[in-house]
Amino acid sequence: MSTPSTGSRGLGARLYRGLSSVPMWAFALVWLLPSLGLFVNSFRTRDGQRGSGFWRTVPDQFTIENYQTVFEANTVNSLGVSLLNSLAISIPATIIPISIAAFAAYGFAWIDFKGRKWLFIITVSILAIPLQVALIPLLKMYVGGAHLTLPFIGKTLTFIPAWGINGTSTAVWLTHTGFAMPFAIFLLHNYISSLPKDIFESARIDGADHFTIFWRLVLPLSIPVLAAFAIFQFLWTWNDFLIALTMIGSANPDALPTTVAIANLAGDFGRNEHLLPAGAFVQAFVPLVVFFALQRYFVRGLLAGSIKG
Amino acid sequence: MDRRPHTFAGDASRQAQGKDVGGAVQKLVTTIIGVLVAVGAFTALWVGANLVFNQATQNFKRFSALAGAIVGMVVMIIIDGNQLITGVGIRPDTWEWDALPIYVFWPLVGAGIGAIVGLVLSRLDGRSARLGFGIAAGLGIGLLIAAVLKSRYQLAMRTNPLLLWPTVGIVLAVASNALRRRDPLKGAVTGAFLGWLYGSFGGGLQGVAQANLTETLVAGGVAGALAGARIGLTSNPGVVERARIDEKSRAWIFVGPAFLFYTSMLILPAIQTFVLSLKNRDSDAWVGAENYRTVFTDPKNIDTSDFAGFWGSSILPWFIFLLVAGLVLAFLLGRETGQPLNFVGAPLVPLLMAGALLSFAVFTHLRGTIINNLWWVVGVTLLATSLGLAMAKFSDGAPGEAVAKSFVFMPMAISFVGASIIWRLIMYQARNVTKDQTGVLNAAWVWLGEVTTVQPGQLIIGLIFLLAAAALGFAAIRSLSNSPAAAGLYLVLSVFPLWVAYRTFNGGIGGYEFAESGDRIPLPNNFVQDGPYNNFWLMLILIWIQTGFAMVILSAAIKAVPDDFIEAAKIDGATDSQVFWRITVPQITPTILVVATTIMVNVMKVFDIVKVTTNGQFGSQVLANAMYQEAFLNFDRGLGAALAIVLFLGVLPVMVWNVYNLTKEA
Repeated sequence: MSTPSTGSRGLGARLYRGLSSVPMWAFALVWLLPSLGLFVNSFRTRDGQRGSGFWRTVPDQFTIENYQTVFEANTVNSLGVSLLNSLAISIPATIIPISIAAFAAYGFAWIDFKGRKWLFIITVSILAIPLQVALIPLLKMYVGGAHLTLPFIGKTLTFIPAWGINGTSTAVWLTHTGFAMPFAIFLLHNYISSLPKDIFESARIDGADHFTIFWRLVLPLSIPVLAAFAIFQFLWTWNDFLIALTMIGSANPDALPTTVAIANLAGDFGRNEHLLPAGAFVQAFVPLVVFFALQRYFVRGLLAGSIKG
Repeated sequence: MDRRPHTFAGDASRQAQGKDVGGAVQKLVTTIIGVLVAVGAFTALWVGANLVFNQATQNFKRFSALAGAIVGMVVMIIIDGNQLITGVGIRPDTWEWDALPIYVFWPLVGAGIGAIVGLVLSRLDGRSARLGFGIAAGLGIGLLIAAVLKSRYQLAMRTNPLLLWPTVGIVLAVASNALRRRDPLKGAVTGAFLGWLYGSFGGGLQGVAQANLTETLVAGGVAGALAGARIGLTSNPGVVERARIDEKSRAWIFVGPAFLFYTSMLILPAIQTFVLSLKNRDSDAWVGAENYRTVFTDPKNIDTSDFAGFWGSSILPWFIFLLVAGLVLAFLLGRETGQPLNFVGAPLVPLLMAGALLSFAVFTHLRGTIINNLWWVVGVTLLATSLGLAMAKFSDGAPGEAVAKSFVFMPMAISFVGASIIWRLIMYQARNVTKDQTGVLNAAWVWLGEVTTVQPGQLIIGLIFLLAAAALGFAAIRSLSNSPAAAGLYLVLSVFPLWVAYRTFNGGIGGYEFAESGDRIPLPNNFVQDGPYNNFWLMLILIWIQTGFAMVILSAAIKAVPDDFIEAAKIDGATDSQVFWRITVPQITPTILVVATTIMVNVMKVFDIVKVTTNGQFGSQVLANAMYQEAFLNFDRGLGAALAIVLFLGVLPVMVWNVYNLTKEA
């Protein structure tokens, strides 16, 4: 589709070609405008931000005080601490699901067992389940453990003791791990099941067992899709608000991730409004770096995850 | 925004401390080390399990011993972990390494006994020898466990359950084995074992004066002997059988951990939520469908009182105009392609616009949480998908494509919370009329009002819109010979700038009004708070995020359309837009549907944006936020669960559709 439009010739054609990218750039600039405004305002003084729009910035309004303030330990929610809290959630919530889902994806793709097809269909169909349906019982489980009372005889068995992990980052990344499973399996399965069948057959003939095939062949071959999922999951867990808010709450400064921290800042009804651009930019900085550095993998993962859906 | 302490999840002692970065760094390091240890231990376990099952085909005796050891250990962990038997010491309240023997003693004993039993069994081949050894070993183990059972779990047997449950067990197991054409004897023994266990320990009297060691020993011994007999009844597997064991168990090693995770964290909680939704707020009494009745009848959720206003809506004439225009264009296009009516192409634009306007007219007059959710689903899905398609088309092959696309794509990396803050501050901010507007939209709106109410601004702005209309008219004339439908589309579109120009010359457009004294007063729009259109402005935030997603997927799909098709069409004299509508769009329709359903599922659950911008006030409540408020702030678990289930019902059609596609594929 890259051929220029037919029709007019000469100057008209050149003009047409030049003009044909105008909608694209107009669109792109409109989309960029909000982020740009945020970035500019994050470097303006309180009075500057309140006095005029970001497009009227003058040099003497420049300050980095906003950034200093949001990192200070004794403001309402120090972003420094919550950045670390976010890492403590995102890192485990990215690493753990990858390994578990990779096993399962291989199992679904290349091990023949009874009920494989239906188990896979169930796995993929729960992709669409809204997280909300699991939140109340999960929080109850984190607070009080999981027990089953046997029917008729009234004896209670304990499967999970009352850990009381609500309010900690453990509860959040554990939840993310469980919720990530269906999508991770779906994405990795799409890729692993499309690996050429020959390599598996020849490896089997050479006497390799499933474990060896998985470890020596499939894992190295799957690096691109593993990277794609890792980026996905990292962005998702870093940017998550609902699960963190439910499992940690909004008033627990010890464990707040960045999203809850800036949402709290935004809830102050204007008192700290001049700090919001800096806070929001700090919150978005890590995912933006990941996004721009690894965009290629991200796009690949996006495509693999939805074209076949 | 709520600043109440979060008593369900929060904890006063935790709130007191914290806020120092050093402590947080230390905590992060501890977390990461903990995670590494956990991942390492899990991987080691997993690799170990694989190695054990490698032995099933390589060295069966070793496999049997290992499997016996693992089973023995797990059984003892369950029994000892629930503190049913006397330990070798008293467990401390907090973890100490000194207490390790107390925790590992019984599991190790179990592993040792299991290994010996497994090894001996793998060496015995005769049926009677296996059966005899199994019964003897099982009896011994049963007696041992019964002997060390804590005294409060000792029992006095009762006849009725002891007769009832083994009978039930035997009947059920024999019947199920007979149906599956398996050995009924094995089934009978299994059923008897489970029934006996349930009938003696479950149905007996525990912790009462009559409880005594003898009866406990009998109960344990019989249970053990039955379990042993069941194991003794199996024969050592041959080579083929071993390979089958390997394949079957391997499947569970690979799939099991993930299955365990999503079952325990998604499927079981979802079922529990459904059960909770049938109970009252403290889940201590059944209320049937009462919560659902509340969801669907409370005017907070569905409010039809204002629907009469729909007929007077100012949107309605525009809807009718666009609908008629779409039908006329479909007729024109049909004449070009030789069909009675053809909608794929120019007619789609006014028809989609008509659809969006109709939904707006309906949703602004039907109010409530559920209506808002529907509005979100329709509005965001429609706009994000079509804008994504438009950007994919605009950028395709244009110079600087990658950079421009990454601008549109970038919001995908920004959190919903961040995006809400950005739009609230940078775009939607409304300031007092006496001050400069700092939000982009209000600044532009007020500026328009300022300019178009005086000369020469009114003239200039009006002329600009007239010029735009003229350009569209010119485009219409140019494409008339090629495609009357396209010409018609340009004419339909030119009505909008014409209308704006008319409004400009008749008192101006934008945020200004005249006071009685004749003074002009700026009239900024409070985008976030003025209902019902604030819903649309909140949707725009999500559209800003989701358009990038639609663009990336659709752009890839457009590029995947074979060049041959396009070349062939161009040689036949098709214009760019004809190629797009008649070749590209039909080719990528499946992808468009996938994108639309994906966005739809995401929109259904929208929470963060509403929570951060309005917290559901000003008539902008949505289901997910209502669910959060009911369940975690009002502590009405029943109603919260019902709202969650309603949300689930919303995505159910998509789920069914996915399953249908998968079964067709597989």
